Amino acid sequence: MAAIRLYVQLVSASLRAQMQYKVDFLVSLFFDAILQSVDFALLAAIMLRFPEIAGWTIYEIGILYGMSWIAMSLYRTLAPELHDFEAYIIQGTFDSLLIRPWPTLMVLLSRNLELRKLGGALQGFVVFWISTNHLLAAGRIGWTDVLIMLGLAAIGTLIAFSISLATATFAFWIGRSDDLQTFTMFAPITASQYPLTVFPGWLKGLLSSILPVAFINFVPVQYLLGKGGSVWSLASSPIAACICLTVAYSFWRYGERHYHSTGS
Amino acid sequence: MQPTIETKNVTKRFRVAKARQGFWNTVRGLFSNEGRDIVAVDDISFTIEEGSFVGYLGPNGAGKSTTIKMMTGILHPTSGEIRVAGMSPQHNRKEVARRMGVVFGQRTQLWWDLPVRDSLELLAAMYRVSGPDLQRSMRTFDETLEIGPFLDVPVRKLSLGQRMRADLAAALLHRPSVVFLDEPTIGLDVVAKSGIRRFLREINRKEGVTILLTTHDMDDIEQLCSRVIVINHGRLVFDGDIDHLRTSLGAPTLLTVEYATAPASSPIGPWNVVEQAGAVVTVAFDRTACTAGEVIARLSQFGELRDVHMSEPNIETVIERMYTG
Repeated sequence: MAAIRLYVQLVSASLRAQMQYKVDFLVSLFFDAILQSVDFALLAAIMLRFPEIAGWTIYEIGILYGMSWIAMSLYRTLAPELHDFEAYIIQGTFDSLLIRPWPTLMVLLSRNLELRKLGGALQGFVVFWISTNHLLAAGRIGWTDVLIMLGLAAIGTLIAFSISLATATFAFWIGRSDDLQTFTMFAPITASQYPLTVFPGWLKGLLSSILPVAFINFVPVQYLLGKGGSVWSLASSPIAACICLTVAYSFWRYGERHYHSTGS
Repeated sequence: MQPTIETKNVTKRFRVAKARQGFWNTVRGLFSNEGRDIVAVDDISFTIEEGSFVGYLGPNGAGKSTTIKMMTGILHPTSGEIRVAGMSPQHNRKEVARRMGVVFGQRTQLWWDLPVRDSLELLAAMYRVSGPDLQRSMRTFDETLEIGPFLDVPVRKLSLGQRMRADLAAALLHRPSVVFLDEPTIGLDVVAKSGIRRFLREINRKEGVTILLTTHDMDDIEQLCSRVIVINHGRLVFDGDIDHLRTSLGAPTLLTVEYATAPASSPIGPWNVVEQAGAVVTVAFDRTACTAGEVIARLSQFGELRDVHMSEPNIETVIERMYTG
């Protein structure tokens, strides 16, 4: 509880500091919006060309897309410092987290909040909303399903966060991690915007094990849409999130001990 | 007196890996063992009692910062044991962090874009300092460090001297019993330096705060430290008080004498003639080998002495000798 209160206090200080650079904030908000539109236009173009992918209709894929975007954007909003973690290693600023009487991860996360990334969550939600409304009207899903899906997207945030945390931890040894994030975090998240069944077997295996983005949306949604799986597919998401968080955080604690710092 | 800081056979070896650019090189870096080993700190042991003011010296790259980083829980020693306030900074990092204060002169611990006051308030929350205690501390720091005038100025707009004072206040806000100061006077002017020294002396004497200080400024050492620990190439080369440091090294004491008339030849004795300009002769001698009295007596055999002036070896020369020796 005390940790949460302190986190809130530190985060609001970080936001106050950010607001010193309002123009910077607005410009990056603008560019983020453009990037997101391009991304969405790409998906729309694919979907208009092929109304169905691997037996999934445009609205069904819209759900995957929406959940994936919500999960990733919430993670990006809450943990920008993980995404850019290697700077802490290269510049040795991780020192200043270790001298505080709190868990380093908490102090790290409290240093920044990237509110402009919420735009992505909003876009994801809009696509999700349109898609679910269509399926609701068709009687394919009920309101409970919609609420469960939103809950799953929130759980997905934890999965994305865990993958990113584990990736950032590598920086303790190799001094770099930002490039790795592209490989372990962004590529899999982008893949999760499509039904897992379109990918070759090895990639399916990878995306549902070491880089378990399939649990953010595909595995439970497949069950909710009556496309296979069992109730366990639904339960697997929170279970996967718990395992991911535990493993990633233990790995982080282990990595912390191998921090090298920099000369003076 | 309780030992506040204890290091026992502490060694730190680094494996220096190559940092890489680009995606594939990063991936390759994961699997490569390329790199070299360096021993930054080599089997160092010392004990520092409560209330001491210790100078920790050594040339650049000697392992000073590495030792401080191990004592503050930032780095883990490869072997050996460290205790700060009775606990291991590695295994009880958070408990030790609560009891210590740290100032890295080269890097501020304050929130760069926020006013000093905000930083102090955030740190108070972080260290569970109560509201009234915070107010009291701020008043005290205003008297001792004169931080009042810039409490509402963002840290990035402070001068270096102001920033250092604010950093000291920030490090001491939670009343730590041990304080690590890594080059706290670096880059400051004479006035700012003496202000900071006065403050450090006061918290050490009045509040019994144990202070470990690294510096390249020999005046810091001479004016503040009752004890000096010197390391070079990662090894402990000296541990004792300043006078002892001077004498143990046999660093030369300089004696300048003025004769009534210039001596006919260069005076010969247990000394080296450093300079001879007419009637004024400067000799360097080793105080562990003979006393100043003897030297004066012997010098007076070469002519009538009009004036005598003696100067102790400057710590800087002493340390220099030690580093190069």
